[in-house]
Amino acid sequence: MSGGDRLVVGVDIGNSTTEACLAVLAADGDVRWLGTALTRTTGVKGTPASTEGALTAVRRALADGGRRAEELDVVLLNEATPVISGLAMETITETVITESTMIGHDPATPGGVGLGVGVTVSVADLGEHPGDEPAVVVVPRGWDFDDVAAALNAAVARGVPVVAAVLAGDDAVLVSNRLTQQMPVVDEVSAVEKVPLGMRAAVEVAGPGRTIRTLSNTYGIATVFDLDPDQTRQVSPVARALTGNRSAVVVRTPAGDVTDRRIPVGVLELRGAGRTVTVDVDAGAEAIMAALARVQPLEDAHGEPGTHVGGMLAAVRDTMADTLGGADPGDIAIRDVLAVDTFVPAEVRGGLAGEIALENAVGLAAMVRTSRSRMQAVADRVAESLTTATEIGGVEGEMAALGALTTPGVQAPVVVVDLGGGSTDAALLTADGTSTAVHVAGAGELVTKLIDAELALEDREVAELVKRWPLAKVESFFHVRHEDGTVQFFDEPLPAHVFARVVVLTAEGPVPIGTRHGLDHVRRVRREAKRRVFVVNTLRALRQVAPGGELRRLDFVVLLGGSALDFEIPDQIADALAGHGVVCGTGNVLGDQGPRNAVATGLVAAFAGGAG
Amino acid sequence: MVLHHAPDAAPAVLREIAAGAEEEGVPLRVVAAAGGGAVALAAAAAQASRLSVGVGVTAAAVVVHHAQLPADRPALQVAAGGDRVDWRRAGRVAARVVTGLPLV
Repeated sequence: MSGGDRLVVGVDIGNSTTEACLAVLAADGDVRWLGTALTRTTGVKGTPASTEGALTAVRRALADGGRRAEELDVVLLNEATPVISGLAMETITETVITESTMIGHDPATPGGVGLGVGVTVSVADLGEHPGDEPAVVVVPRGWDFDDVAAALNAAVARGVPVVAAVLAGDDAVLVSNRLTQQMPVVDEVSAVEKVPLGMRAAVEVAGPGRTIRTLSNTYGIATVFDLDPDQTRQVSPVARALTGNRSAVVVRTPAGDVTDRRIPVGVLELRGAGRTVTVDVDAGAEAIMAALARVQPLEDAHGEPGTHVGGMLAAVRDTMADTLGGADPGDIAIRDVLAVDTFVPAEVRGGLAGEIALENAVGLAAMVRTSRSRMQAVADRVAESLTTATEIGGVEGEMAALGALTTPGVQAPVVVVDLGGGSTDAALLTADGTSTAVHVAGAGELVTKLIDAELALEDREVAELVKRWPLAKVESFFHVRHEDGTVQFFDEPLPAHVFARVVVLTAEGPVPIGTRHGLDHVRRVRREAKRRVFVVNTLRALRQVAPGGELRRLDFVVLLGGSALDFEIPDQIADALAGHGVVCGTGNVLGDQGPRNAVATGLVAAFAGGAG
Repeated sequence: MVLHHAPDAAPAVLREIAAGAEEEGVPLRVVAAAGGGAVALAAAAAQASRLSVGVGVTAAAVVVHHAQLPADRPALQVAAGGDRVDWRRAGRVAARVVTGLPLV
């Protein structure tokens, strides 16, 4: 190498990955790219623990470029994006059954068809039941289907009008097949012992492929139980909870009512731009985001103490204080929030068969700025280990824009959008080299949380898989149907635990999703979660950096970051931007790195520009 | 579906398997076989079934098989010592292979 050449490596320590880019800078400012590397970030970004990953990345980049550590002249580190983010989600409605009045679930195989109205009687007491009153027979666990059928047939033979049956076990079809007189039979009622006896009850089962008509209609229930207008008002939540079921049981108890209780959510106070706006979180995400737009730039946000939103923001502040290493939560100023309306399936409290009601919820991502940088400490450790000069080369957003310029077909002015885990960051680099960076709250982690909540997976790992991989339905032991309808065959039989299930097709094979929903529903939830976070946030961030806030005045938009590798997010964003005449696509740093390595490459480019 | 059982298979087991299939709405034909292992009985039953699903029952085990699966790799095996719930489940699993529902 000639005397003026210098070997430089740029290192970008990110939240999850650490990337490096190796290049030779000639004395005339010419840059020759030699190699790149990607490794997992060790420890938390910017803490001394992350030095390890940085060193690994440097060594791999050197190996990739065929150079030795001794030849290295300068190591350049990124100044971390000065934001950290937090998430919270709260259910804002709750369906509670104060007395057992309703069984509304979907057993896979109910028996019989129709509506039966009568008085609840235990199967054990059926023998003494008077012959003039219609009976709804309640069968506890442990009864064999032959014995149940025999008891019911005997009662019918005696002249008792048996109109319906409610079973604990899963044998409605078996019982139905053995009855001399057909009636609706509902099974799999896990808490059947809580069904009050001697009360008026209605049992409805719809035919295959249909849903119940009477008990899901408020006036249907009113007709069946002969209710007055006040009582009718009380049962209206029952009807709503039963909508869409194939079978249902409603038991009328004197004190029974189902309340659809709205938990006080509280008021969010947004302070910024010389004024303070308060917004009721009840009003939903749209109202919150509209209020936020009125106070831009946001200086801080507070939730009413003693309410849900107060608790949510306090939780976010606490996690942030921890991340910052023991800062006082009171000193943390929230600089952006993203509110998302969501539905969370939750078990109805007081239900008898694990009934699920869709409750409204609000998801909130918040972000704070931090002035404290610990990157210098990492730089000192890297310098010591490699015995090479190590500097902080530049701030992430600006460096990413410089790196993105190595994407074929891109020129300044350019906006890069970094679709990260905690925040979505945008940086504008103008033709004359000035740059502006903005950060908005909400990114990949919020998408995972929404998927997890809306599908009631209660498994963050599976939610993450649903986010990352396309879906398929296993249709036999040897083939799956992908979400686009194409069929794929396998030589080896698929395992029995994925048979007929909706699965995510990961690199390691199919993983079943623990949900009763069909593929289309899961796909819709996934795409909506991505749209509500990444499309909304990209537009928000672009409006903040665009001249005059007008998207039309942007030319090139380059998507970067882990989520730019996603199989559908870049398309969703490009679709949303298409109407604004913006050129938008996923970056291809150095022409072969895809959306990776932009910051590390930008560090080297900035150094070359400064030195040249 | 077809069920092949060895002479020593317990009637209570056969009853629960038949109940499991009936609850799922799938017809089951029960055939007394001369003998053999449960896996081999199930594989033969699957070959004999127009729905390609077979159940093999001996005193030692209950096996659910599909005609397209390799003979030595059945869909489900319930070893001896199972109870009513397991036998009922075997019947339901067999039926669900036919109806294309997730196995319980």
